[in-house]
Amino acid sequence: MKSLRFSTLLVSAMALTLTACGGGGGGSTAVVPPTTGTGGGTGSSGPTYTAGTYVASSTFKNMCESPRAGTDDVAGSLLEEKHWLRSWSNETYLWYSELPDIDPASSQYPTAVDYFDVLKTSATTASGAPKDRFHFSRNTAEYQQQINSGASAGYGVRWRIIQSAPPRDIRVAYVEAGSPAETAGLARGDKVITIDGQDAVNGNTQAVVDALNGGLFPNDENEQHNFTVEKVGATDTTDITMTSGVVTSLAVHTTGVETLGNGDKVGYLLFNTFGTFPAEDQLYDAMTNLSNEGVKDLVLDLRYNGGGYLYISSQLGYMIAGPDATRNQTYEQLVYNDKIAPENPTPFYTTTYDDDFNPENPLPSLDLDTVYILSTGSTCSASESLLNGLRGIDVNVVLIGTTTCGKPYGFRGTDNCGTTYFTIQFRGENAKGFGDYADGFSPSEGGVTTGEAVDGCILSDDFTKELGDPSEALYNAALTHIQTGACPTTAAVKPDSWVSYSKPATLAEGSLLADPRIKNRMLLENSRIFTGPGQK
Amino acid sequence: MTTDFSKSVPATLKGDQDVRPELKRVISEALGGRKVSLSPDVLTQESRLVIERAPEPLDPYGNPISGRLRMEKPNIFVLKKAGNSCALYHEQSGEYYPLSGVKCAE
Repeated sequence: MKSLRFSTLLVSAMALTLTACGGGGGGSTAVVPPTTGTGGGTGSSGPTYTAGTYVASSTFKNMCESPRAGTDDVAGSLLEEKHWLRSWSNETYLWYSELPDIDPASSQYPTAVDYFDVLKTSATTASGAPKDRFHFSRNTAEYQQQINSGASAGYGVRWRIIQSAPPRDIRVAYVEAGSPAETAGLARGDKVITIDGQDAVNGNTQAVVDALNGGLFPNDENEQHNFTVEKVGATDTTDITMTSGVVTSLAVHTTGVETLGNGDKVGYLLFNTFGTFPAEDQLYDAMTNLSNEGVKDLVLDLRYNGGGYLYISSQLGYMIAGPDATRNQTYEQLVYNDKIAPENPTPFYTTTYDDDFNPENPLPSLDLDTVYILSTGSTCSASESLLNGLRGIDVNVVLIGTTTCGKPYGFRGTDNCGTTYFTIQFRGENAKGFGDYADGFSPSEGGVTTGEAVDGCILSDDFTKELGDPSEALYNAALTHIQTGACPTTAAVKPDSWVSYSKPATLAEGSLLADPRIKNRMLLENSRIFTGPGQK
Repeated sequence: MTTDFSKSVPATLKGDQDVRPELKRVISEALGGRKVSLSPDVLTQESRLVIERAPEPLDPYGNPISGRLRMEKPNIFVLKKAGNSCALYHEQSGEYYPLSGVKCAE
């Protein structure tokens, strides 16, 4: 094979429409909002609770214990904030009939977020995992922070936490070109031994955990931290000092073309996020180049792609399958609860997004009937939509790697009183009406015990090789499958521990995730926040 | 004297100057007070600046909280020069935001 040609492109960012969904609730109990705020539920005035009866959430919207200046907030109470959560959940939650009906005045839940945290189903999936693993809230001001496209504070490194509890295994998944991490000499596969002198492998006090989080995930620019790393194949360690900056990340990180023995060309595309606006332009350029190269197959590396814009996911589906296979087909149908009217399905978009600078342009396409997707537990949401959407129109998807995250769900983050709440509101289904993959998609090699079986090979992420290197295990398995129709016979490597780690049965109580600094932090191309001692 | 930017031309930032505080100030003003982060090389290579929501925070599994987003047009600003003055033009609102202490070139 010829050596791979790499190219790097540019990135960007995203946004989420803040839309309050749904209509009114089912009840008719009169609620008289108080004129002054009350406490956390024990006050003598305020709305009253009647089991099974729900007042429209609009009754309580923006009635806040601490109204924000310059917003729609008005003086209200914590009790009203909780009543809003109860009614809003009843109106919009996908499985609203499975919600517990808890008196908002209960003293068990001293904050609105505490109350929100229990407003979800307790059912489990076929694998025994919680049915709802995606129930979050974030500070609205942080969530709405604006950036120039693709930029975020950090080192320009994506960490991969293979083992979060001692003995920890923290690796570098990749670094961004021109970033502080690259300049400092950090490279894929490097294993972190110490951070600012603290033992990153075995350190097990809360102080050490805090120091590790602080070093891995700098809050701002110009934070300097010292790392000791063990490079791939090295017996000695290397000391590295990195200073955080505002780093521009790449959605399309790497592209390449490999020529097989029979002369056929295979395209490779490492695509790390659908969640940035310039990702569209980058995909347009990359797929145009691959089309011009005349590639016969595509290896799409989504192992670290946690999703983003469904629109761009649909565009990529079109660029893979082409006009004949996608014409008049549904890419994804969002299915809400029975109180919310269905929307028109998302089609396979065939043009670029129209904006004030760029008119709609027809997208290129490879017109493939088979695509090879490289996956891990971080292959999530819009990435899984792509997989499912293509299967819905009978494109053969070959999955190489480990089970995907299992997130067919979505939500419209909704602000109330300074907190944005995310509760599952819809499920995505493909053209065949399939969307039941809460346990993820799993390569079918050797039989599948969890997840939806997809033709493919089970392999662990290979940190010994650069991404895009044809000898890297997952890419190499795809090249083998393209040429032989089967998985490599030497692929007796077990999946890494990420699979089980990425699906904890429950979230640890009292973890650092409760730390506002961690909860509200921006995506720093990282994969996991540590939990404290004794937590999983 | 107020500069008339109606006949201004696209420009880029000139020289070795960190004008991000001033840029953040006017962009935040244009966006209703939202927090803004900018990279060091912003507007040095091209006059167009795309501003959008910061990457989604991560969920406890290490993935973006939503992961299925509706497309939302980003805010687009263009650095413009009129005489010796520079301004950021906000494409969506059609407003010019004069910049203080910023040198730019056509």
